[in-house]
Amino acid sequence: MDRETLGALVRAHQSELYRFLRYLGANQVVAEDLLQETFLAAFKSNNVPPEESTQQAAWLRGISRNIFLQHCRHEKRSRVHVNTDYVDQAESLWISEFLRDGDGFDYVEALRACLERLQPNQRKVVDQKYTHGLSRDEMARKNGMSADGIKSLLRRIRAALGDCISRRIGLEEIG
Amino acid sequence: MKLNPNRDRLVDQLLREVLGNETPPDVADRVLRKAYPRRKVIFWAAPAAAAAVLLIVGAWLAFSPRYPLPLLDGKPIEREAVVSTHEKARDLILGGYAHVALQPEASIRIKGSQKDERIALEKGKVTCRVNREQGRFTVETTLGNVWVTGTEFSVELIDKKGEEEMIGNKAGRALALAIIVTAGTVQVDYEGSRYAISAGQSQVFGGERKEVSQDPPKKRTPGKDGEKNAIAKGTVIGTVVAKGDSSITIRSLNGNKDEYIPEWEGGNTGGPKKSVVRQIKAVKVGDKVRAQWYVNDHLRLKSVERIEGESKEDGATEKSREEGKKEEKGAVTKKDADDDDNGDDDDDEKPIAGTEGFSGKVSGTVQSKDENGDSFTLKVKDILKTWKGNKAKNPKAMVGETIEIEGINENHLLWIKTLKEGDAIEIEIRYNEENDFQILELSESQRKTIGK
Repeated sequence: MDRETLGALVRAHQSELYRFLRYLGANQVVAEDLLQETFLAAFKSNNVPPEESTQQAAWLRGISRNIFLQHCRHEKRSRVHVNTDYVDQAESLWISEFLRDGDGFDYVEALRACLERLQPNQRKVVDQKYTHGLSRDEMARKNGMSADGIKSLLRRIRAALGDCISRRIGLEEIG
Repeated sequence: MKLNPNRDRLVDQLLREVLGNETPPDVADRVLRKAYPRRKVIFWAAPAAAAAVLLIVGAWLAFSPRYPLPLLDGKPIEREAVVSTHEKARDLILGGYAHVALQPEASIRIKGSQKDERIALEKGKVTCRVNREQGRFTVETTLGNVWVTGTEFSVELIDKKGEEEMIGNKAGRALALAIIVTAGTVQVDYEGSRYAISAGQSQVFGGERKEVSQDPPKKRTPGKDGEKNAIAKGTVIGTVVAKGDSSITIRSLNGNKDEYIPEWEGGNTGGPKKSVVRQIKAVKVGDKVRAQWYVNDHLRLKSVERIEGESKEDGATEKSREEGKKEEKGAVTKKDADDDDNGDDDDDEKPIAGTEGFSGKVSGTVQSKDENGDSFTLKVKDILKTWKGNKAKNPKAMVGETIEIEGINENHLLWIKTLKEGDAIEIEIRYNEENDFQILELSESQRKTIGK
């Protein structure tokens, strides 16, 4: 693979692969490292699908999931119990829901729309967590709740957002 | 509600990107450096290497896929061209990712470059849909620039009647810039400040300035204090929904609720600017106010003044700063004693002392309604009933105070729509786990008013 082809390959797929690795459970630093390893592995391979092929993204995602699994086997402090089944199920949802339109654009737009429909109190908590980056303890103090209560509340809000997104993109029957 | 751990992580990650601005890294250079480590080039080989590079670049330019030309109604058009519409709308596609619908009687100039597409809006209205992951897109106007962090929005330059030549005049300025966001968010640079407008919101810059509320962005710059470090400044117009000793929460005309804290004076040993603290004391919950703000590491208040309302010196909110001192009856809200006055938290409110856990029926007068229609403020006249589940030790502490009450379902919101300022009402309410009052149940007559 020549330099230009490799550069083009990286620029075309790095956003989606980074998002995929973060979704699997890699933190920001690890995801960035694994992203580089993915492309270096692709560089060393002689089987890169052609640029026009829809298989190219799936091929790269396959490399990244294997690299992620290898990383987790070496890293015992992984925040989730990771095995092949876990990654298979995660990838299945990634393909069937997130990539339903090809690039996840509809899913992200549906999320934006669903955020606007949150109750003000729910939106406040979501902003505290994601916009302002408050810790769970800080949020608990500010909202007069326990840290566990905040955790449960955020999970419920994300579940509601997930349901809302599914309805918007026509996935009501799935999951 | 379906709990699916994979979907939970997916939504979690996307929220980090959409709200937390977590952006994927660009690892292209690092990957290329590792894939192609530098080698020493001996002196005599340099000209040959340069020639080889030129050949490769030339070949790449010749054979690589071309960046799409601007297309007007499907036909290529040059950059710097001026496009005007009369009775019919026209479609412009830039870079393959920015779709611009020119509405009738509009005029634009095509500007920009690859992946940084721009148009200069000279007249009229355009509606834009952008795939922001493929490149930047900016609408330039004589009033300010609008650039995309979202996907779908419209921009209109509004001329005052009888001043059709305004754009071409000496000042070169239209009278107002109107922006409506359908999906995502756009950023607007206007008179040296930057504003974010989210989906479902609209904002007019210029023109009738006194009715324009400029809401603060959510972003902060930790460790950077002082107005000189401000990343944005503006004037918000809205309704006071809560107050503390030295903080005020305002719900703007655009529906956004933010807590403002006074400017700081006196450096490390100083405190909140006294003149601003006095201004906060002079307004009441429910007043319509105009407030000047700026953002650095906090959302700072420069001034606040009442526009409408029945404000008078509000001694009722005075209370001791002594940590642990019991809150006086009558204080509507207060900040936590150990709160670090973080301007990021927009709703750090505490209930009126003794009313935590209230569940019952109150009477009172409607003071104001939230612009979004999901809450209203009520000046409490009396406590009519308390229910079995009531845990408030002193419900009467609410009497005479103005409280904000939220609706939590569709019927509530429909009923709130029917309320008018000054209405005398009775309503069943309760405190929820987040220290907000919310409607418990509508009465039969209240349901009738909304046809339920």
